[in-house]
Amino acid sequence: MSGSRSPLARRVIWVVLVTALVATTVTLVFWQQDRPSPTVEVGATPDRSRPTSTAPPRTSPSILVPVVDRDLLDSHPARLEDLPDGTAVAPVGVRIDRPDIGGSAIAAGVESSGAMAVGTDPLVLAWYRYGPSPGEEGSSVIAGHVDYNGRPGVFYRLAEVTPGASVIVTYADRTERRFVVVARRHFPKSDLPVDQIFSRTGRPQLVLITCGGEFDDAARSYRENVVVYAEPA
Amino acid sequence: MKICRGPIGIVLAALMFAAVSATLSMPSGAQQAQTAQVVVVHGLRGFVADVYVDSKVVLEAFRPERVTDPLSLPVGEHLIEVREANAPATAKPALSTKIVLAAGERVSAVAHLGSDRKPVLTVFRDNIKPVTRGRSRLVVRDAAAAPAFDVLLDGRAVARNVTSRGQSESEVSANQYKLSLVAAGNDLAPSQNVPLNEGTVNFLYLIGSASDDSLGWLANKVDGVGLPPAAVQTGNSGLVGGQPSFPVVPVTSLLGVALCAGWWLRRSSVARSAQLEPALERSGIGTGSRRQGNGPSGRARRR
Repeated sequence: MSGSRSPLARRVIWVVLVTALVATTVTLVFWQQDRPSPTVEVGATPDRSRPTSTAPPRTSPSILVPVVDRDLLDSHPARLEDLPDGTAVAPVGVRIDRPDIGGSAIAAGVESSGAMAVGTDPLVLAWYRYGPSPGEEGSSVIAGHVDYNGRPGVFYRLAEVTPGASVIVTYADRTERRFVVVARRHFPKSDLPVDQIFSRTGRPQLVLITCGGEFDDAARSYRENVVVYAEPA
Repeated sequence: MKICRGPIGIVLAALMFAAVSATLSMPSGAQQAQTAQVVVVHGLRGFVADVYVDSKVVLEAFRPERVTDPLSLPVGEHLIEVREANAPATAKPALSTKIVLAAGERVSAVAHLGSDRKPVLTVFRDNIKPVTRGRSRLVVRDAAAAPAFDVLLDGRAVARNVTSRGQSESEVSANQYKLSLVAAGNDLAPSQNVPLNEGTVNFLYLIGSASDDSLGWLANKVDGVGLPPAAVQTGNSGLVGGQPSFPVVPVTSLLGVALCAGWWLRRSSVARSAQLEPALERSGIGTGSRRQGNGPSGRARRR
């Protein structure tokens, strides 16, 4: 009975066996390759290369000036009262329509570790108060917990947000402004483009950010940041 | 001609090549860094000025209580001269000073009243190194005819005994402050509300004269010297599934297919077991490669 199988059937089974093993290997290899940069890309990355204002004086390109010329310089008022005080109307709430997520926001700065302060209430968002308010020139950042001490956070489902979703920001003066999601990116935390995300110049942009990706049990921390970019509607 | 063919010629050619490639490979940033920036601050009330750098006029009719944009100058020594507006370029300057500029630095040349109430030009080196996250740098400069003073922010002293042509520098939490100056226990000038924003350097100049009650402030703010937060940590519980997760479904189903196929082959070839031994061995290797592929550590160990 056992020896009755035809050579053709045996050959077919061989092919299936080898194919399955090769496919397994290929799947694993691709999984491995994906892991270092498992960047999810949804939508076009917002172009930050076209700032609406000039770079700060320190970084402005220095041209070699062998001969100083007439009318090279301009001057501006230097009275103390002319210092811009930089106080913006703070955002106090964020609501996204798809999926329906959001919550109230507080103003937050930085921890002594250098990380953005995000508070300890998983349901409260943190607006980076040293950057612009949403809608002002530059990139305004609002962070929210994906989870905290075993409880789902306000941005538990941020990774489900896709371009076209609507974001309503409420401000301290009770006004509202609508933004539209243009992209979502997942960055390994070590590769988070903080200069771009926290940029204080350039076209107005709202960045919503949380954690995601694999969870590192030992460090009690996710390996990635989920970043949603929105622009004024 | 003859020399070029001998060993000396080879050495010369090699040296020339080395020189050329060294020149070409010199980073352009090194050349750009051979400049420095100069800001001119006008703290002399009632005096409209023409500003000259190296005997060329760079700014005409410079009015008091204003500050110039930064002017890029090559490193080295430069002559700054201030003449009354419309005075001939050959006239003796009202004020002048030589400055020696180092690569990449920023200096402020300030026209102001000295302690003897006579006009003077003072050069300050500006610290525009990055400010600690969440903080702001305050630099108070004494450009007035006034007694030595202490600098207070919200009533708390951040500098003591600042004297004419001197300065005090402090880094404070970014905030709005009430700035006051105290000399010998008394307020020297009216208190001012000062917004000290994160990532900025704020150069404040006390100008005027205490004796005729004309003390006042000038300000020159430098933006963009802060650092963004280093990270955003917004989860500690692992409630959200890892992404990308281990491809459990494809891997198990493919392995299942492989196992079934192997089992069928084995069942069908008991009589020809001798011929099949290599096949079983190979399938064994295949299973082993799955374990090694399970994580980067497994791979590293293998190497």
